[in-house]
Amino acid sequence: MHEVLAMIGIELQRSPLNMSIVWALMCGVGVYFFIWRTRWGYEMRAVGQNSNAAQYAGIPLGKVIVMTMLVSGMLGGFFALNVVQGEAHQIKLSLVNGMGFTGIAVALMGRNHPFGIVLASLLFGFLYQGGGELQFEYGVDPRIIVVLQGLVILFSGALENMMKHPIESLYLKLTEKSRHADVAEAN
Amino acid sequence: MEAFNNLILILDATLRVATPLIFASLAGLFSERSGVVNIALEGKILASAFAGAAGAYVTNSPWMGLLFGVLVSVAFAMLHGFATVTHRGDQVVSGMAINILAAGLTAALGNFWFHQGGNTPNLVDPFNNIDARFTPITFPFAEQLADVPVIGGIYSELLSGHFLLVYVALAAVPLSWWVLFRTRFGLRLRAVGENPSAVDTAGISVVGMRYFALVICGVLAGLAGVYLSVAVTAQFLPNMSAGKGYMALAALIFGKWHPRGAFLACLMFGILQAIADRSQGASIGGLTIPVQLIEAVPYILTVILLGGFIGKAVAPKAVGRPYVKERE
Repeated sequence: MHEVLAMIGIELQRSPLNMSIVWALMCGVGVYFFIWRTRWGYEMRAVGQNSNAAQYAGIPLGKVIVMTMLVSGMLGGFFALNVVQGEAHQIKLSLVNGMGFTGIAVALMGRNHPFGIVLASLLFGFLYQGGGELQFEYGVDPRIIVVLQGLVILFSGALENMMKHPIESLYLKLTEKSRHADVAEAN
Repeated sequence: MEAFNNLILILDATLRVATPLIFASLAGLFSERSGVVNIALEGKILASAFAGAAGAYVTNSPWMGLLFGVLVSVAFAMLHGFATVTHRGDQVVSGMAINILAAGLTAALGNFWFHQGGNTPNLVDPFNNIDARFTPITFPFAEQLADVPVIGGIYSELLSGHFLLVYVALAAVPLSWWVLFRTRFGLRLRAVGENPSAVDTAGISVVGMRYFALVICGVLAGLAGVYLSVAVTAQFLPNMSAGKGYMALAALIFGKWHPRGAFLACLMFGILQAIADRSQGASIGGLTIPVQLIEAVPYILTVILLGGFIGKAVAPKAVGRPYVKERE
């Protein structure tokens, strides 16, 4: 990446950052258009929300599932672009390194929307890089990142209702109070 | 005689390999029959294996290790219950979170406490006076009978000389069948998994039943983990569960959510693994089969069997669905 940017006059430090990030962002935009702006994406969302209703509406269930899996497999395969072709230039045994599970966490945090996913992946990128630096500087165990990851999935995915209800009721109470105050003032 | 001895050795290894799978799939059976999807088995096995090994090392007693392992596994099960039963979170997501949490915590804590790259110290260490491993149980007269042709092989090699937990696993299968299908508690537990609102109407707490099922699940998964670390390897290694939790889930589905079926499926996985282990370096017509291929065979066969021969497996009806008492 630093070589490409140097060509257009931006000087960057040498880093493993490579063109795959551009491709990843393009894929994000592409996925958005595919899911929310095409007929295939519409069928996909319909099957996901209520497969029975979708079937009665004439959407071929098997075809949609196979196509979704194809697209998903293709996107999953692009993972190797960054690691193999961008960074290491060879296949290492541990190249996946639990990234598939991290991907689930990222999708959950991003609320299954490409824009949110880009933000969430940035966060996890910070976490990974930060973990590495912490180990380098202070000798903190980098595996603590995996613990963090688990906690993020637990709280943002599984325990989402735990925070939702108290905050909802708090919000309702506050708005209720201010409405009462308005009414009192009007009288 | 040679073939018979081979068969006995393979069956012997089958029991050893299948034991954690049996425990784990019975654990999954209780939780899924009560309507809670449990892909957190893997994490529970890993966590209890670590807690068991660490506890056994620190207290120098395998029984304390067993206690610690089971307690930690139950604690993880309660976390799963808190997220999915109390707060009605997504059960698959919660299970995934617990798996990742367990993988991270065991490695990080292990490294922090014992400074061996995530391993726990060996549980059999004569220099430091540590002997905290379960020892195999030898049946009476096993040595005397060992030379008797057929009975000796079966009795001394196949039946005798396993860890206590192996026999516990074999006893747990009929026991959980009896609990699930012949007691009032089991009837209620299955009903919670099929139709929770009916159970609720009958005045039984759905939440309570599901928590209770998760406690049983935690105990059984804990036994699986302790078996791995305290009995078999006498040491905890990072990621030592190596997908056993997922295998157990596959066995559970393969066995159609029934103790007998799950038990047979576990034995099948075990026997495939045992055959693979024994036939390292085997050759067909002068062509040596690569070890990697033999090691891959159990997994390939699992995929084929699960994909092709499972028939129709009907899950408990309310599995994966959080119970909402009344819709507002």
